[in-house]
Order: sequence, then structure tokens, then C-alpha cells
Amino acid sequence: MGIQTHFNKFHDRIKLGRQDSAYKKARDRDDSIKGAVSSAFAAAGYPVVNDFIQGSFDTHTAIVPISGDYDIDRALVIDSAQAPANPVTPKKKTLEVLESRGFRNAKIKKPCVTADYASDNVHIDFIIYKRSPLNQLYLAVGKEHSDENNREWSPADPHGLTDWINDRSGYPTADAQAIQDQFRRLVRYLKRWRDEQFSPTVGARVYSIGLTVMVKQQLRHSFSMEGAPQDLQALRMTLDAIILFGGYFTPELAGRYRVRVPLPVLPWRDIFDGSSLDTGTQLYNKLDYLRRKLAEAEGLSDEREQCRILADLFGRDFEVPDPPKAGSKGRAVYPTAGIVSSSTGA
Amino acid sequence: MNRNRIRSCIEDLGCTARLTDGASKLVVEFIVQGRSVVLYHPFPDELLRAPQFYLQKGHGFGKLAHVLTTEDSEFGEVCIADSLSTVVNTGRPELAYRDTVAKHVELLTRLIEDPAYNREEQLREFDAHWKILCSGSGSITNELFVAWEGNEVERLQVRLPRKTKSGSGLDIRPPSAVADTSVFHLRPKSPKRNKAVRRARRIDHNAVGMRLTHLDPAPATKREVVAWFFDIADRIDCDGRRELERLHRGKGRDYWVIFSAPIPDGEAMFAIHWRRRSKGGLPRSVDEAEAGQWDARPYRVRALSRASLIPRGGGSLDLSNKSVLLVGCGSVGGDLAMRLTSAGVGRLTVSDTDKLSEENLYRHILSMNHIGRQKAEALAHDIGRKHPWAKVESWNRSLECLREPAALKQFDLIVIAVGSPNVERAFAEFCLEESLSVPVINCWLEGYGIGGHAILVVPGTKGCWHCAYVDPETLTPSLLPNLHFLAPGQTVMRDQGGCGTQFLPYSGIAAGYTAAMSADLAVRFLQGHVTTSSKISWKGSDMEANRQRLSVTWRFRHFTESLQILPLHDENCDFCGA
Repeated sequence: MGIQTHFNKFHDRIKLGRQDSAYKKARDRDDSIKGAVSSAFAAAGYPVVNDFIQGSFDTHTAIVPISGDYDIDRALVIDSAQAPANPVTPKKKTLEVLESRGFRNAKIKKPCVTADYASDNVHIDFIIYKRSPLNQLYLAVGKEHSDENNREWSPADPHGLTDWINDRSGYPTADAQAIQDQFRRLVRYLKRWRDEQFSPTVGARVYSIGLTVMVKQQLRHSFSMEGAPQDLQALRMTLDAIILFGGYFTPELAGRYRVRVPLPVLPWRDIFDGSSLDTGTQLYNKLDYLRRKLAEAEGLSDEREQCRILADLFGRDFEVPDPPKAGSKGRAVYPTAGIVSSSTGA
Repeated sequence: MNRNRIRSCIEDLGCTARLTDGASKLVVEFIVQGRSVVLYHPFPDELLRAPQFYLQKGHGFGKLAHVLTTEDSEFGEVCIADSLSTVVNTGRPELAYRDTVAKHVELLTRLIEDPAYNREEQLREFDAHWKILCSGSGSITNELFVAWEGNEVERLQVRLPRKTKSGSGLDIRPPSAVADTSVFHLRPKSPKRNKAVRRARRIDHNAVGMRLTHLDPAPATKREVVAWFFDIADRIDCDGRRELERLHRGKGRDYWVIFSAPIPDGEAMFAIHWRRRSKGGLPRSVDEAEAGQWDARPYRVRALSRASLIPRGGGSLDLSNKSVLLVGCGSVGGDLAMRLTSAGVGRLTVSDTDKLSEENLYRHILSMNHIGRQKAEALAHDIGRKHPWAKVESWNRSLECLREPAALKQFDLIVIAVGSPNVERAFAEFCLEESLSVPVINCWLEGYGIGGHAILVVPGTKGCWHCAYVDPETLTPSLLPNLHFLAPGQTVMRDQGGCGTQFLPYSGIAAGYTAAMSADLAVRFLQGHVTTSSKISWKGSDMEANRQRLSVTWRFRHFTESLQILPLHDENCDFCGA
């Protein structure tokens, strides 16, 4: 068993798909509340014309949260002709519905309305867009009491961002799926690493989309000659590129760093806009530590030692195997097929 | 060619140069030790090799190395380099002449000024000089084949060549084009591989091969051969002297004395045939030879010597004591067997239950003569004829029937070329269960010329047979090798007439590549250059696979290490990676 097998096991543990049962309850809550918000919007004269789940499910980079709180980014789209001029108006309507349906901590944030469902560890972000006749989306930006200068319908391209993340055209056609799969695994590893290594407060500001964009842009895929993934090497090389060549971290005074990761699509804004030096510095230092430890693990021949290092970085879901039993000599089990066509001769 | 420009260029070297005979010849003169050295050169119609110069005799420097003289010519041919080893600037012939003359001046000056060097060089080219002495009338050279290693004193038997119509090939047709060619054979009791020798008429017992402790340069003329013979006879070792004494007391008309002696770059072998009308013992001195009217005729020796011919053919004597079992005598195995013995492997056992059929012909090394014959047996027969010092045995056994540790332990290496993953897996598991210590090579190819592979498993080192069978996607054991270039699960076999007529399409070239690559891996292992479990592949073109709409693997797309020996170990292997 090689280190990739342990990465595979780790990935199986942390990956979260739309159909996973762990996520089903959150989806049920989401469906329920989405219907209520849509009704309220319709009653207010701006019916929902489209809705979609935004974020990591469409990019296959979602992970099981260690906090147990499942996040859902629910996008609601209204028609621009019926949309109120004030973008905060539908957000207030959303807040009313959430508060009336048992959500706690409901509040209007600048890009969304956020709330926790009281009993089911479900955290939902409602993101409101209006859609122009040319299908351009505009994000409702503004807090509850923002004045005219701090609220707007801001051009946005959430589908374009998903497409950009899912784009494989830059990879060799025949290998694109394997490379994209490795990219998704690396993002998941980094997200879990963030959840493990940062305090909840700082971790919440190390945005998943920021990590995703950096990995996508700096991806250094790695496979054996036979095509077996080498995630450890790929992650280390990708982090090397992020730290050394990415240009995301700008040194400031006293060894501190500012992090900037521009959105690769409209409105091209900095994903970490407004984030503190403390966030940038912590992210830089921890990423740098991570890549050094990965390099150390790469240099080890003892698989258990490698796993110990990786478990320190990624948490208990990265399992350290038991020592091999002495003298065990098994017979190969072929789990993949009973019979297969051969192309060999002599 | 502007001959005046050539002359001028040579004079720039400090030599005197002039054109003679209507500028058809060039005469170059230079001084060594106060004496003149004169070179002649007849201009050729076309300059296809380095210009040939001839040294005028009577220069007073004695016999010089690299100057081939004959008794009837006043010039000696100067040899500065083999014509194959020089490339001539025909576009600037004056430069070619200048450099050639410069080399002549340098060589001849050194030979004249340094007698020790001259002597050493004469010994180095002993055979070339001796060959001139052996020339008969026309283009005929007196020469004989001698199956003698040249190490110890041996009594040899002289046989005449068998006359054949084609006049070529030693094994069955000694070179009858050379009228006086005779064949000596060392071991008359085991000439199985040399029918010509066996069938040839034995004509004389009085032949002895003996070794000289050191050698003098060859005599300049045939007339000097007799005196030269008695000079070198003093250097025969004790055993040789006893044999020589026996010849002195002999009662024959023909005596053949074959010598081997050390020369700077190896061994020289040559012979002298003593003959007279009446019977008597081999003369003991020049006087006895003259009084007895003995004719001493020099013979060039073409040694059928294991020690010289195997290295000359690129084989290694180190492999003579190696024993290899090759299972599978198909197009890969057949070729591989031939390559192993050509590399010098001394003992080869080939095993296969299959018979050669007409369907095999175009990609199998065996000829139509063997159709219907066991492939292993036919292969052993052909190898024996091609590589006379290889001991080849044939077994009529399949790989599955060879799972007997006792039968396998005698080999230094087992090579499997059966192209059947099922049987090979069973054999690999048998080796593991029995902890068989014999290293194993499995080799095979894929269809449509896309490539071929070989894995070497050296017990006790990192990497096992199962390492080549780890699925790259699932990292679990796979039924097919992960070395493959064609993606699994596709129909690659073709059939010509329905069930039972299926075959894997590949060419004799693909089989040859795979055999050569696998043989190289085997030889490197046997020579100790590869000591750990390894794998090697050659990657061909996917053109035909594409035409058949077959998809290729990741490995094919990314493989850039054709013919490089790589570690076999896969860290995800359940057996050795655990």
C-alpha cells in the first residue's frame, strides 16, 4: 500500500456530494425554506424566476464539515424588470421569512442573507440576483442599513465562475478527467486542512473560493508513469507554485502578508477584499508550513511516518495505519473484474 | 583535383613534393635521421578514401611496421588507418592529401626513431604480415580453420574440406573457393555441429598446436620462414617441446605445426606446413630442412576459437557458464533464444509444447524446414548450428508443468515468453509460495505494434511480479499489467475464420524489438549490471491502434523512457508494498 491509497481513503472520508445522506437533511431544509422565500418574493411582486445551488457542489469540491454544520449557498434570481431598485429590499424579505421559520442568527450580510437552522446544524446563505433581459446577473449587495453609497445591484457571474472552475480545456483531452479529479481532491484537502488548522473565526475568512481559485490557477498535477495519481506530490508542487509564483501574497511590514486573489470572472474583484493582514499572514505562514511538511513526508520511505505527518496536517480523517503484521504473505485479490480482454502475446 | 595545389599544400609541411609521369604520380620526400624517406602516390580517378602512399624500398631502415611489402615489388604499401575509419574531405582534396602525408611523416618517423615501438607495432599487425606470406598464386591464400583455443598443447587432426557446389559456409560447406583450404578440428568426437568436419577425410595425424611464450615479428619473405621457424621453436614451452620432439622422430610426409602466441592486442595464431616427398621426421634445423628438401609453407589460421570468436561477435565469455531456461518459443521466445546465445550464454534450455505451423512463418525465426516440428527442438537445432559453443537443450513442457522447484533451481535465470497473464500469474504465485530464489523475466508484447514489455523479478529485492499488476486507478491488484499501452477491456484479437482462429496482430519486427529488449535485460542481469527487480518497455506507434479505434493508456501517452531499465517496485503493491 502506498501513500496514495491513504490519500484516497482520506478523500473518501471528507468528500461531500449532492446525493450524500449526510447532506440530505440540509437539502430538505433548504427546499422547504426556499419555497417559503419564493412565495414571499412572489407576493411582494418580484417572483423568483430561477434558483440554483451555488458553490462547491457544482464544482465537486464540497467537503464534510468537521463542525457538523452543513452549508448551503442558495441563489434566488428575480427578473430585473420586477426587481426593486433597492437591492436590500428582497434581502429584508428573506430575513423576515427566515426569522419566522425558526432560523437563528439570521442576518443580512453584504453579499447574502445568512442564517442557521435552529435544530439541524444547517447553515444557509441566500444570495439574491436580478437577471437582465440579456441574462446578465446582478448581485444584491448591501447590509440592512446600508445607504445608497453602500448598496447596489452589482454585476456578477456565478455560473461563469463554476464553468471556469470546471473548465478542463487547458488539459490534454485524454488526461483531462484525471487531472480535473486530482484538482478537486487537492481543493478538498486544502479545505479540510483549513478547517483543522485555523481557528473558526480566521478559518471563516479563508474563503473556499479563494483556495479553489489559487489551486486552479497554479495546479501542478502529478501522476506516475502508469497514470496512478500522486496527490502528495501534486499538492506540494501546487503549494510551491502558489507561494513562490502565484503573486497572491504581498509582504508588508514586520513579516506580515496581504492576500489578494482576484475573481477570474465578472466582477473581477479581489476575493479577499477587505480581509485583514492577520488573515493574510496566517494563511501565508500556514500554507508555507504545510508545503514544507508535505515535502518532508515525500522524502520519507516509511509509510506510517508519512501518515503521521499528514494526519497532523489534515486531522484524524487521515488515518495512520497499523504496523504491518510480520511474515504476512497474502494472495492477491482482484476486486475490479472477473474477466477482462487481454492484448498480450509473445 | 588541382594537383599543383596538392603539391604545394604538402610542401607546407616541410616535405619535398613533386609531380611525375605527366603529373599522374606524386613523390613526397622527407628526412629522418639524416636519411631520405620517399613516398609514392599514384593519383586515383576519384578520391573515395584517404590517399594511398607507398614507401620506396632500400631506405635502409629495415623492416617497418605498417608497411606491407611483397617480394616482387619495390614499394611497400603504407597503412595509416583502416579505410573505414577515416572520412575524407573530397571537396578540398589538398587538405586530405596534406593531412594524410602529415600522418605518414609522423608514423614513419616514429617507427624509424623508436625501434621498440616499431617492433611492438609489427607484432600488433602480425596477422596482416603473415597473411602476405600465405598468399599463393592469384588471389588464393593458404589458410585453414583451426578449432583450437590456443591455450594448451593439442594434437590436432587435419581434414580436407568437403567439396560443395555453393562453396560457402563452414558448417556444412567449407570454403572450397580456396583450393588449398584445410580444416583442423580439435575434438573429432564431438563434431556434431560441424558435419563438414565430421565427414571430411582425415589425412594426417601429425599436427600439433602449441603455444609460444613470446613472438618475433613475422619474416619479411617466404624464404625466411624456415630459419624463422627454428628461431621461434626455441620459445615453445615444455609440453610443446615434447610434442615437437615426437614430430622430429616421426615418419611422415606432412607435418602441421600451429602456433599461438601473445601479441600486444591479443593473440596471434598461425601455422606452418612441412612437406616432402619421402617419409621422415620433422627437421631439427635449417640444415636438415635443406638437406631433406623440406618445403615449409606458411598458412594463415582462421581460428574457430571460443575465446576469440565469441568476443569478436560481440558476445561475452563471462556468460559461458550461465544457465538460462527460456519458456515459450514463439516469435518473441525464438528470437530471444537466439539473442541470448549470441550474447554468449553458454547453457540454454528452451521449453515449449507447441509445434511450428505455417501460420507462424512470417514472424517466427524458424524456417519452413521445421514446420510440424516441436518449436523448442527446432530452435535448439538451429541455435546449435549458429552458435557452436552454446549447449542448448529442448524440453517439451509448458510453463504450468514447470512448477517444480527442483527442476528450476539449476538455472541462473528463467525467461518466460508465453504472453499469457493467467499462466504467468500462476507461475509467479508458485515462485512466491515456494520462495524460489531463481530470478524470472516475463516478457510480452501488445498488438498492433504499440509496444512490448519485460519485467525482471529478482527475489530478495524490492519489487515483485504483482507490482506490474497494480491498477493505476484503483491502486488494487489488476488482471492486466499496468505497463500496458492499450487500454484494458478492448477487443484486440482478430480472427480469420471464426472461433479458434483468433490471433494477436503484431509483426515480426515487434516481436524482434521485444526479444532484443528482453535479451538485453537478461544479459545485463546475468552480467551483474542489473541487480534488482526491474521493468523495461519499448513504445511503438499508435497509428494502427487508432485505425482500429483502440484507445491507449495514460502510460502510453506519457511514456518517454523506451528501453530504459526502471525499478519494478510499485508502492501500492499488496505483496511487497505492504
